[in-house]
Amino acid sequence: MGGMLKLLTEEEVLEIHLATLDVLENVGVAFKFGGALKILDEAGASIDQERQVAKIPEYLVQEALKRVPSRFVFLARNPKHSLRIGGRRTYFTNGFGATYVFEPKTGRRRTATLKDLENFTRIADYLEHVHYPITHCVPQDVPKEVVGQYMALTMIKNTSKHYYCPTLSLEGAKDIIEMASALLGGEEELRKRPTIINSTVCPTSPLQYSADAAARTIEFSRYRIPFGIWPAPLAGATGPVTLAGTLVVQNAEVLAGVVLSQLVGPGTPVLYGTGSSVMDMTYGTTAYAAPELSLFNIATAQLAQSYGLPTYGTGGIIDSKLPDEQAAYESMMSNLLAALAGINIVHDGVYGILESGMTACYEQIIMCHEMVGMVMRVLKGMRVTDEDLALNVIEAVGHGGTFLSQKHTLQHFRSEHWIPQITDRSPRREWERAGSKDIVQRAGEKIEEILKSHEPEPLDRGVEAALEEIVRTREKSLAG
Amino acid sequence: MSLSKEEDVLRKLAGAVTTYEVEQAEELAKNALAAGIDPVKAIEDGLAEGLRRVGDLFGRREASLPELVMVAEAMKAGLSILEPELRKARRERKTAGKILIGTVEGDIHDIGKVIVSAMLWAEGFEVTDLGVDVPTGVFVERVKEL
Repeated sequence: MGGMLKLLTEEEVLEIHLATLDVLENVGVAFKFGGALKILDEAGASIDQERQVAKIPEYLVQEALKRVPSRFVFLARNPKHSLRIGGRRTYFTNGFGATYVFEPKTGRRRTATLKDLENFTRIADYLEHVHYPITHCVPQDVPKEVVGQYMALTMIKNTSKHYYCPTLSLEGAKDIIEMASALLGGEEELRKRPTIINSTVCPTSPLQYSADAAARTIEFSRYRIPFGIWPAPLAGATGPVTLAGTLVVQNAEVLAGVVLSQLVGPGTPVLYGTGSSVMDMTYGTTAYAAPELSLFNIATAQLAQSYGLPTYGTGGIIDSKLPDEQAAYESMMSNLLAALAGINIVHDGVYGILESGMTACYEQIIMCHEMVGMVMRVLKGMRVTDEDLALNVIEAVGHGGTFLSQKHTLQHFRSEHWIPQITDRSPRREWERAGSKDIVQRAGEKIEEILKSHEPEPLDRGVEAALEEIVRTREKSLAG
Repeated sequence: MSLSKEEDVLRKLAGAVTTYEVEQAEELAKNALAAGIDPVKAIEDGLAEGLRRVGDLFGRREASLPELVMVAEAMKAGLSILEPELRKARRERKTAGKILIGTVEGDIHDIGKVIVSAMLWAEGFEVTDLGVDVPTGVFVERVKEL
């Protein structure tokens, strides 16, 4: 079902592509890192050293698109969680990077801690539709300089699914690569199985790679570690106000990164990302859960499919400050549309964050998971085989009977029906007897149950010690 | 020159700012000087008056950020003509204060700074924008010049 939704005609996709080639060749993309400019220069780009801009000719783009893989496998500590990325498969992650945590019971907002990251990772490890966890919050109780390393350590310890490791600097990226090597038993092993981790590089729109972003693009590509290039231009602010114009900016940023990565490490898996949306013209805030974000996701899926690049879209987003009705309609809309467009990884899908990425909320992650469950059922679609057409059963029941007592029903109801976990469909009297609880209360109870009972598969003791040592060494070197 | 002629020029100057006519604001500022209008008056009753009107609309949520940013651009265009005259005469205009703004070294984000600057302009501050990736030393040097 993924990929059934189209926004642009084939001609329009081509127009976007051609306009992007114009931008890359005539305007270029700024790389605030000499090493990146040197690589692009040697490959044939025209470099403006003073402005640190690389003008990239069409043949470099075509060459890079030939080299970049169309599918790969995200490996997981437990192989049953490994994911084949590409084609029309759609997976979801949880939300990314909150600074605060909102507690509906007290109405209080507090800063996020390392313990919160541990909890959210454990919850994501438990939840069926979080296909791999990403960094739900950025702990505010560890030193800023090593927060990336602490986040990686905490996540690796608390899930046996595929690892996402955010890196905030080149040094951080190097430490995380060292940790991934330790995890697999050495750098040699990492070079054989680099897809055990993935990370993200974010251009600074319009048309710039910061020194860190450029350096990390090169570092990941040297090891062929997969990463998403995730631009987020806001139409009217960091991209043209027109959506097609902003799509061109996004596309130029992604393709420039693909060119750089494929020059450094041909075959490095790159995910085509999008967090493009609009800026709220009244408050100057990111209108992250705007309907325009969904339009960008659908168009991105089409563009990336035309390049044969797997996608890292954005869905499930919430701008509301509370886990309320606004949160529900915002989250559902972007998830459903991203999934129907055939986005491969819906980054943020099981969001669990409020306030455009600022504030995590435990109850919200359960509510988002419920919504993603519904979306996954829609994606599965309607199978039409003789068994599904059920002619024998229709004949057997005849007129006015019931299908409930048919073996056919027993055999298929779990796969044909989506089974709610916290959605209420109970008769009113039963709902009242259970305390007339609203969805936030029911989600809170589910959270308590998961945190009390779910233990992730433990990491090998020796590996854990090695990872901790890497983080401690870096922390000491910074302190000294 | 007659009072009504002066009023007419000032009204047009304010109008050009209010409707974000950047080039016209510059042109009308030159006209004001040519007509012998006091540059302080041209700024306060012309340019700043136009800015205030849009600022008030923004405060009531009747104008949006693109309008606020463009109105500040028109104001700056007019000031680029009128301020050198003030400096020549060693005079100062009234402002709510002077602001030096820039994105710190190592960071290349621009948009937040542009929005804050426009809001400060609308509130009557004079804003000097140093751009992005600005080393601390440059802030220190430039703040001495204010």
